[in-house]
Formats: sequence, structure tokens, C-alpha cells
Amino acid sequence: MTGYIVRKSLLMIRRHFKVHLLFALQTAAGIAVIYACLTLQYSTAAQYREIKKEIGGVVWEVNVVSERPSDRPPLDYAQYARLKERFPEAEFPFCIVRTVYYTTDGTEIRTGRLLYASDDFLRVVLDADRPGFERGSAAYAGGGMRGLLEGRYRLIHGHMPPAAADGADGSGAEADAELAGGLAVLPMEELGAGRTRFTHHHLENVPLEQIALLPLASYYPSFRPEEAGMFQLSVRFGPGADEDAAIAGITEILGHMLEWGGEDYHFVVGSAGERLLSGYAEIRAGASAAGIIAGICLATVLIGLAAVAQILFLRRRRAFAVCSALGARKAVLFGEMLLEIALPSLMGGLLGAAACSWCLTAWVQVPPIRQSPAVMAAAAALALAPGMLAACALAPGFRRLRPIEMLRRDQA
Amino acid sequence: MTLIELMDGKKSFRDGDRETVVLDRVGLRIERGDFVAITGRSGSGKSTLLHILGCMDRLTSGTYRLMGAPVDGLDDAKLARIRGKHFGFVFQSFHLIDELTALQNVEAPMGYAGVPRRERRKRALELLRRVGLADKAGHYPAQLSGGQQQRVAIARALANGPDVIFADEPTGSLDRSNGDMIEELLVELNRQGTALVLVTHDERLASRARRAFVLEDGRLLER
Repeated sequence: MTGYIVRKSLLMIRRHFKVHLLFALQTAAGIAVIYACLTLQYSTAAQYREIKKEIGGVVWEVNVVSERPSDRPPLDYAQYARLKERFPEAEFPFCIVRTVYYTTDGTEIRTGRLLYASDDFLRVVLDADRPGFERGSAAYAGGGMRGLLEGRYRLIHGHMPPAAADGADGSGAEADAELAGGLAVLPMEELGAGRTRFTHHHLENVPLEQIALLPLASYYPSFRPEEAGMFQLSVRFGPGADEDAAIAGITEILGHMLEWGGEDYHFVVGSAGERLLSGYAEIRAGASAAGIIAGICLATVLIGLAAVAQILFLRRRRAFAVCSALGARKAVLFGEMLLEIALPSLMGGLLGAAACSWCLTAWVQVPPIRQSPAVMAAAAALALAPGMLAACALAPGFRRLRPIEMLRRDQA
Repeated sequence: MTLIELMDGKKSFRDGDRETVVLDRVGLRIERGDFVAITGRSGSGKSTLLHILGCMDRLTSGTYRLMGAPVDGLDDAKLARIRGKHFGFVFQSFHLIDELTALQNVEAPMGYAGVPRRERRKRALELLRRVGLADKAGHYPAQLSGGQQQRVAIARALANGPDVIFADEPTGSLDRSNGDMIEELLVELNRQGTALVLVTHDERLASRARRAFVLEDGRLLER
């Protein structure tokens, strides 16, 4: 008999296709949004846990605030080298960012970023191991930046490394002896820098092709007092370092920096992990808000569906009475109606979740999307809920259904 | 063999303090292959009696036995099973299910009785052939004439091979020629061994019954 009930319910769905399709679409939309929110929540939470485990309290950033104009940088290369020597286990994914504007053909202005980076920056941030890069004369540049560094494009505003700028705007007067031979500009692709999981905050969402990586040491000869605020020393304490050791280390580093430049600058220290994690917290909060709104929408779908279920029930009371006369039990008739109401919304919900899952995987990079069986199960349960609840609202009606009264009324 | 036995059957409806007695100490025995006609004025309780005999309604008091077993205390589900297995119904206004084709309407009682799909379909087509509507199997009720709808309803009533068919004014909504056709069909079914209980205003139809009763003031009197 189950087969007959399912078949008949499908038949009824086909006969009332337009009504069911609309509710299936509404449920699909609601479930898709809820599924997206839950998946984002889940992915963010997983990423959050991973990052916390990985960098938790062992990655710190020291930001610089200028007290007064000074010709001395907050941390010169020699001082930086001393810090590296003092903390051989630590990594210094350190870079200074300069923004430049240039044109390729005289009509379009492009923006580029010059990153004076440490070896550790390349290794930790870009996954590229190039020991000695920070003191060398090789630069890596992507796309248009390469043309700028090689002097093929014209610099409009900003400051270039002396040797490379020679052919651009003639500011080579400031040429540094160390770079007299000019920078050897290599394509960014040679770095194989595909991964930019955490990066300098000036560079978030900047594609690598708009970036040129320059040796850190090459920055200092052209230091300008107004650029002091660009310093941001990142320190990552080595493997095995616990949070207490990291705090002690960063305190010592801060002491040295205050000793070297404390008259001209003060320093603000923060955990990089906290900054990253607060970003994820924002995504989670956004996803929660969207999820709540979608939940409310789904509740309105439920109300609409319940109303339609009631109308269908009232319209079909005579048919139910006839079926009852033919030997159908009330429970069977209720089962038929339940299937008819719940199946379309379930199918809509499942399709919505599947489509959303595909879209999230295809289009969302941050946070990396992870599919959770629990989220899938929750989406399926939610997809089933509107139909089930709407149909269950009919249960009292079925209990009170008196087939004979329906037939009598119809006959009258 | 006695199929149905109704003894001292009383059916009353309560409206506040007022009690309206529709059936009063009604007694009736229906044998296998019987043909019983019940006549009476409008509102005399003929349909109520038919519904009680068909286990669609319950007695207020009295005893109702089906093949010797009392059914008064059975719950709705068991009564539904009895209706599906032993009874077939033909109504004045056909009561076909609009969303189902003629074939699907005939299949419905078998579906609820758990008959496998292939057998259900085969038997439904055979029944439609028997009532001369094999070519209308895929038609919806709205696409059929009154007479055709009633023939589908008769095929449906026969679906589970019932012991008795209850027909409530089966020709009441039909013109003369269609009415005659339905009348012949029912009489033929009875000839083939199915008991027939007929409620009708039609004296001519009632006269063809083996036994005829008239319902007057709640009492059932044999004519």
C-alpha cells in the first residue's frame, strides 16, 4: 500500500504542480541561504581553530607611531639583523610597503606596491624559500610592475629603488652604491608564490601581479621620515614556542626598539592572530545575521505552506470522504497529504542546499569552504521541516474528519 | 447465509436538548446475493440507513453484525478495512476523484487494500471493459458524461470483489437512457452473485428488487 500512497501523492503533486513549485522554490531559496550561513559558520570556525592553533599567541606585530619627524628609521637593517641574531628561532616576516602610481601608455594610471621584504616574509607569507634575498639585488615583480622596474613604464608618483628608477623619471640622483648595478628583475612566477594565507595588512586583496618584492636592505638608503608609520615588524616565534615565551620575546624586542628609537617613536604591539581571528569573527557574525533572516523567511514560507495545506485539505475533504468509503484509513489519507505537502518542499530544500554547496565551493575562497555532514543533515532536516509542520497542522482536521458528513453535505 | 444482520437499530441526532430519531428499532437481514430496495420520502433516513449498513456511520443503539460478527465496537481503521474488503459504494453524485483518471479511480480501492500495482491495473482495465469504458480509461471525470461517470463508479465499487454493493440513488442524477443502462448493469451484477442494497425514489427500479422496504417515520417496513 505504501507504493500506492507514494504514487498517488506524486500524482497529486503533478496535478497541483504550480502551487507546489512555488513553495519548492521558496524553500530552496531559504534553505540555500541557511545552508550558506551554516557552511560559512562551520568553515570559519574550523579555520579559526586552525589559525588559533597555528599562530595563536606566537605571532606578533609591532606597529610604529611617529612622535616627531626623524631621519632615523624606527628599525634600521643593522638593528633588524641584531634582532634576528638574538632570536635565531624566531621568524621576521617583515616588510615595508610603498605605493607607486605609473602609466603604461600615458592614458591609464595604475597602482603598484613595492614590498621591501625580509627573507622570512618570502618564506612565511609567500611560501618561497630565498635565503639572502633581503640583502641581495634581485627583485621579483609581477605583470606591469616588472615593466616599471625595468624602466619601460613611466612612474607618475611615488619613489622607486634608485637603479630601477633611472630610466623612469630621472630621480637616479639618489642612487645607492649597493644597488649601483641595478636590481635584477625576475618574474614573480619564479617565486611560485601561490599561497597568500596571511599577509601584510596593507596588501590584503592586492593581487601579486601588482606587487614587486624588493630586498629589505635596499629600502633604508631612501627612508623618508613621513614613511615611519609604514614600518610594521612581524615576529613569529619558532616551532615549540609557547605563548609565555613569545610574550617574553616580544617584550624584549620592544625594549630594544625603544632603546634604539624610543625618542622619536613609540610602538604598538598586538597579536597577529587576534587581528586575523577578529576578521573571521566578523564573517561569522555576518553569517549568523543572514542565517537568522533566512530562518525568518523560511518561517514565513512555513506559514504560507500551512495555509495552502489547509486550502488543499478543505478542497479535498469530499475526496478524502470518498477514499474513506473505499476503505482508506484516516492515517493513510493523512500520510498521502503529508507526502504531497512535504515532498516538494523537501526536494526544493535539498536542491537549494546542493546548488548553494556548489556555488560556495566554486566562488568562495575565504574562508576555505569545508562541507560538513552535520550541516548537510541540518539542511535536510530544515528542508523537511516546513512541509512536515504544515502537514502536521492538518492532523487535527484529519482526526475530526467525518467522511459521512462530507458525503451527506455534498449530496445535499 | 446471512451477510448483514441489523437488529433494533436506532439512529438519532442530538441538537441541544432535542433528539431527532431518524431510525427507530430497525431490523434487516441481508443474505448473500440478495437484492434489497429501500424507498421512502426525502429525509426519511434512507441514506442514513445505507451508511450504517455500509459501516460509514454508527448506530446510536442496536446491534449490527457482519457475517455473524458484531461491528459496533470496532474502531474507524477496522471499519475502513471492512468497507474496503466487503463493500462497494455507488453514490448519486458519482463521487469520482477529480484528479484521477477513470482507470486510477477504479484502482483506488485496490490501492488502499494493498493489491500489487500490476494486478491492480489489470483488474481495473478488466472492470472498465466490463462496464463498457475500456476506451475511456485515461479520461478524467470532467471529460466523461454523467452516465459514464456512474459506470466508472460501479467499476470502482466492484474493484475489491465486494460481497455487497450499496447504491444510493444510482440513477438519480442521470437521464432516462443512462439511468436504464446503469439499472441493467446493477441488476446484472446482482444476477452474477453480488448482493445489492439500493436506496431509490424510483418505484420502477425498486420493483425489480427481490425484497423492497419502505422507511416511514424511522421504521423500516417490508412491502
